[in-house]
Amino acid sequence: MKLQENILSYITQNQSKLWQGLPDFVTTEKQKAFQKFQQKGLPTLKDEKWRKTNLKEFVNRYYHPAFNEIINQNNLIDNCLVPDLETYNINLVNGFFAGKNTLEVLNNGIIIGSFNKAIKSYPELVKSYFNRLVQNSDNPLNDLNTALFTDGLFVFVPKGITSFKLQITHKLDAKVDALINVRNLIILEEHTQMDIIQCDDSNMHRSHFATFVSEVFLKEKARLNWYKYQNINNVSSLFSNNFYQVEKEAELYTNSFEMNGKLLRNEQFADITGKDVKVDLYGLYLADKKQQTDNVIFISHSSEGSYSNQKFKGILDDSAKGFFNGQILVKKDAQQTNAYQKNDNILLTDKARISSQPFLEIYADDVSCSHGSTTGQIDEEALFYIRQRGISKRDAQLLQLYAFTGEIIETIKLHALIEPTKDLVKKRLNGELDICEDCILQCAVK
Amino acid sequence: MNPILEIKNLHTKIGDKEIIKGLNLTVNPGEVHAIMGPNGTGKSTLANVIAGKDGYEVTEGEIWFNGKNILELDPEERALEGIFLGFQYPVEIPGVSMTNFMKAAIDAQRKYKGLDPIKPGEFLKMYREKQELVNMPDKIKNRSVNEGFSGGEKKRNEIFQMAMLNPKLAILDETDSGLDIDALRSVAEGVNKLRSNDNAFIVITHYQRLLDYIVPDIVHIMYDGKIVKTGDKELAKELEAKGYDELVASN
Ligand SMILES: Nc1ncnc2c1ncn2[C@@H]1O[C@H](COP(=O)(O)OP(=O)(O)OP(=O)(O)O)[C@@H](O)[C@H]1O
Ligand SMILES: [Mg+2]
Repeated sequence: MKLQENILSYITQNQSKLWQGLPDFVTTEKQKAFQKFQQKGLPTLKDEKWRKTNLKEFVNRYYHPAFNEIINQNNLIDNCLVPDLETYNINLVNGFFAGKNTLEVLNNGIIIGSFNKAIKSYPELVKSYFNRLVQNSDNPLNDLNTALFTDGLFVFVPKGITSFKLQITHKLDAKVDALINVRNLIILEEHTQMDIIQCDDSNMHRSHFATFVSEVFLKEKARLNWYKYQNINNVSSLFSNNFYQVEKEAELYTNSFEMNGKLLRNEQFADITGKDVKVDLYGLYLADKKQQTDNVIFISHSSEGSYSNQKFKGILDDSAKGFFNGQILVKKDAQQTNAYQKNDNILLTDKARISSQPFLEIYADDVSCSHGSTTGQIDEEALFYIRQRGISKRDAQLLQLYAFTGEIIETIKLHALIEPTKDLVKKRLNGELDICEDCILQCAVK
Repeated sequence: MNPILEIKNLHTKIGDKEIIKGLNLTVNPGEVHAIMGPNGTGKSTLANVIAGKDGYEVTEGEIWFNGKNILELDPEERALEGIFLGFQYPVEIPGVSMTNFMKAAIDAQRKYKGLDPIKPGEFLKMYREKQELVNMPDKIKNRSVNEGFSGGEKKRNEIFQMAMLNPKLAILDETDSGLDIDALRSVAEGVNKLRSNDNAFIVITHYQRLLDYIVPDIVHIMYDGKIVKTGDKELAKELEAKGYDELVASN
């Protein structure tokens, strides 16, 4: 386990330098996380939630810790812009905040920018949220992230601000194989609304090992819609772990388009702590060659009368693998909970694999829950029917696959995203989108 | 005059089982043929083999279409050459709208002829015209192909697609079954309007009733994988009166 030794000795040797200048509450958390990581080590096939996810291609490599800002200045252009959409734009490169105004307060009171700066400029604010959701995670990569992150994104949306749209371009862009850790903190106060459009992208053909951890707090009646487009190169891994605390009457919607990457793993934890919450998690994963895409969901209903819905669809080609693990926990007091989960897959070859695991743990008696998982092949009868009308086999197949993705794309609420997303999915299915030199959304409008 | 379709001594197996056992059939331009025969006798199998569906092994014989041996062609190539199959059981294709499906089919046909994709306005006009021709309700056009269609709507939809694609040879496999009398009439009307001296139809049916509306030039009785009797439209009436056993026994 070269990677693990490399991380441990790196932290041990550079501890003082790594954590210098940070307030105590951060250093303490980093210390604790480091100890936890030392004990547990990187995930292995023996860990329950990692039985289908082999990290062997990554753990035996040397990854250069992205402590110094390995930023290729030429690439700091906003190239993830969606046409016809006014947004505030953020660039994160190798875990570092890239841009001139690294932390600013907007006219409407929104604080946005570098998390590293926010820790220093708003320690009291950050302190009451930082690591609260992540600290008890059983995924060692979260400890690694806590111990090693330097920067990331900080957003604070004050009460009553309801029209904030943010684009995040998150790039892996190093000239060496890099170990990258991004840490974000997003706070939505009461009665707010925010849309996030995130592109995970990589420029070089280097192998990277990246963790992207976000803590998100939704206060009463806060609404967040988070669209994520992932398109990294065929040798890198990206572990994207989002933690949400969702309070009374708040609404969370996420939609992830997991398009390309050697290993994409998206974990989402939503803790529903108030009444009448609505959580919708959608995802579409398309993998081929020897790629793997994982989605690990945990939704905890702690309060009554809330709704959660998970819907993930995947198409796996060649010898690609998929892993879906969806957990729903309904606690004793969470009466009148509605919780749904569905995972549908199409396997295009005999070698493609999907492992789909639902877990329902229900302690309340008045609830409505359902889960289901399907795995199918291309419908041969339909294929013949379409071909009989003169449409080529390839197009007939594309027509069916594209139709399969419709259910996820249709849920997009931000109009300007619909066409670029459709285009992106078509290109991916068509094999035109391998690894674009630039961001995926731009690639989609070319 | 060259025949549109010429089948010579066709033998076909599904797995180990021989279904078509030496079948001969010649269809000339302008003709309407009816094929009748008991359940399981191989009528749909014949239709599928002509259309090129996978899973059927032709062990002997030839199929010529417009002077071309088509046995080696893919289903889409046969369709583009002008063969249309109206399915006995039209397939549902969730998520693919009727208009998108037809646009893709028309464009495939145009591409085959070296033409650019059809302009949206022109397409919609054509779509509307053909809908009217077969009395197809307009509400169906935004729905997914055959999804949630009633039995009658599915069959009518086959005729609508035929009208859109204007094939040289249309094989209609029990398009009449499950239709009420009005639907039957409008399906027949659709077919009659499309009849010309350049195209031909093979109508597979169990009922003489359809043949009152689509008057065939030639009627074949298929039995156990072969055509055992051929005649004019009176043969269908004789069949209705006697039934297969007597008719085949008297052969
Ligand atoms: N895929 C298949 N595998 C095995 N046997 C098949 C298959 N398809 C058809 N058969 C068999 O081939 C024979 C002919 O079937 P076919 O559907 O062609 O009959 P048909 O004349 O169209 O009958 P019907 O009037 O009921 O539509 C039947 O015995 C049927 O069971
Ligand atoms: Mg049949």
